[in-house]
Amino acid sequence: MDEYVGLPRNHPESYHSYMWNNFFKHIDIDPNNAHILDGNAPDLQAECDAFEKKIEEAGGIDLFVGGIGPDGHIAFNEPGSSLSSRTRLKTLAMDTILANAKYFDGDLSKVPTMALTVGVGTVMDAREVRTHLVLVACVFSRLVGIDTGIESKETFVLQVMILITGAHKAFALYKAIEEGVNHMWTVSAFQQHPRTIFVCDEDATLELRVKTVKYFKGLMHVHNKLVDPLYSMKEN
Amino acid sequence: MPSNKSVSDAPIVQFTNCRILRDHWLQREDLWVREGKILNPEKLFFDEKGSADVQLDCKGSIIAPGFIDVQINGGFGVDFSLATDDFKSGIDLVSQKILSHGVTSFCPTLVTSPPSVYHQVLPQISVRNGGAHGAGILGAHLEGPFISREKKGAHPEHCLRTFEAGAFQDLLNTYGSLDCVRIVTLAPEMKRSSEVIRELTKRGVCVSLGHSVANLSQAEEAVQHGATFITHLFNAMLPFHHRDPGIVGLLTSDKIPAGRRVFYGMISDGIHTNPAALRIAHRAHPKGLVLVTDAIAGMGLAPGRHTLGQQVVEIDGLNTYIAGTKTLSGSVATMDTCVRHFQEATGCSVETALEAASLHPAQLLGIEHNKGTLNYDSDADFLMLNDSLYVQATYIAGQEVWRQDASGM
Repeated sequence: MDEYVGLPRNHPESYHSYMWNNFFKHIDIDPNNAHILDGNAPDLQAECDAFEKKIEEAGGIDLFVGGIGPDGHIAFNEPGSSLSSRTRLKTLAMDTILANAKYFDGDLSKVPTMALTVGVGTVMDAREVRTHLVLVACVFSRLVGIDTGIESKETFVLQVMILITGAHKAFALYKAIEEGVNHMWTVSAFQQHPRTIFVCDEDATLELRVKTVKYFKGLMHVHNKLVDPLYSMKEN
Repeated sequence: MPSNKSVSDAPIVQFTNCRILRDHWLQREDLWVREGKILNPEKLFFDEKGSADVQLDCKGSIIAPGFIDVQINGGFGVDFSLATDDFKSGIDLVSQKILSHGVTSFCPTLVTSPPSVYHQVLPQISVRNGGAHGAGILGAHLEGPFISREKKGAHPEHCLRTFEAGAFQDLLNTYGSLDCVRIVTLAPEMKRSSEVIRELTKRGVCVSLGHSVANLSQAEEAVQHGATFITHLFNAMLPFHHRDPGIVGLLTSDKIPAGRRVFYGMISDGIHTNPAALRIAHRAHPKGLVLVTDAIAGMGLAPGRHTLGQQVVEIDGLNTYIAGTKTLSGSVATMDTCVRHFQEATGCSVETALEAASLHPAQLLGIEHNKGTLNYDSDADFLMLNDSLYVQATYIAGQEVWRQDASGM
């Protein structure tokens, strides 16, 4: 969904390297089906436009998986990004640069300051909007995800899944789901996506209201009912 | 999966389910090979949108760079210091047989011999790549005749020489030609050795110190003139003394020119060096340790009498002596035995033991960009080993050239 600008593709901290080491090399994907933005393209805006085109040509995105930054950004849509933005060049916020410094030997001067990223609008692209967001917190320390969203066959991005772990993301999660949709916390835009799952661990819920967390944890028994074949057969 | 390669049509082989030695540690990674070289799969994926043509399951084996033996005098009845009519087939036999010991490149070694032997034998040794026919030849190692009388060990006294009169020219006349010579062992206390060392170094020949009674300053001077190796540390040199450590002192000398490293050969067969001495050397200078076999013609054969150049040698188990004496002369150890013994005696990591037989000799000879590692674009000479470091299969240029068969032969 993004790539640093100006960083050599084979740099160990580039997103190409990250995707290769953590995903592509472990599976048998056809390399022709792997598309990552090229942060060293001669015309960066053209590269972004081409990426949007590729998404369209592929028929849209079935599953969008992402994390969030401590400043609530999704991909590199830093606080202040337009909620209708498309794939484009973004300058990184200081928060992000500081968070990334640990991957560049703690040397701020080595951290890239710009990146290409999909826009909030790119991911939100939907012909019908339904306000149904499901958040599931984990029980004890296991990660659990439930999706009880309403099916919408018209969406361009079928399913959005955001993974949030750790206490340092807790405040961003609070802003993302307990406050309103806000361009200063761009991941909050997904409240308006028809099918979104936020998967998080116990620590990430530390800034939420106890009531919110209890509500979603309470959904476990609903989930169990749905996945237990014997049970649902009896119901019908 | 069909691959789309814009760079080459050659088949790509992916070795999976293995642990490879890279960047000094054993990593759970696949090894990719194309056209005899180690391939970068990330580059293949993003640049060429390519993928593997063949996937081989290595069943959890360790994959390490092939071993490099820089001191081997013969084996299986073949003696590199004997100018026989079938010398060429002899060297071919040894290079083929040592594949089963994990050796993919070696330096055939000649002990002190009369000039006639050098003149006849050296032209028959050529630097060549390895393959199914056998391990690659990196060049000859000439151990002697410019060595010390007092530390001749198993070398024949009547063939010892000096280069007092004509320095480098004397050496050249003795050997005949340096075309395929990779290493020369000499005693640095000999007169005019500095000139000879400088001249050899200028010509890209690695100079090694051995069979010598040099003190530490003479050894340091030799290093300053270009010497980079020590032949079988501890053997055939003055013992370590706390007020004059001799050649052994080079391991911790502070007079080594910046950016250079002194390497030292060790025969870790359990006989040439007491394990405690092996540990002392390893702990003092771990990055310089190079495992060598110093194997002789009797290696791989039944116990009994064999030749070593002009001498007769008696083999009894792992002990090899000049017939009728207690003077050690070479060994019958194989390289993989040395690696295992080294690992056991020092308690070092598997990575360290494997690098002492691959990376370090490659660094000594200045060929580590090509050999001795599993880095991308280097030659695909590698071994499959089990966890006890027994060689299961040997590959040269990406082709399997030896495999342990089920009967364990």
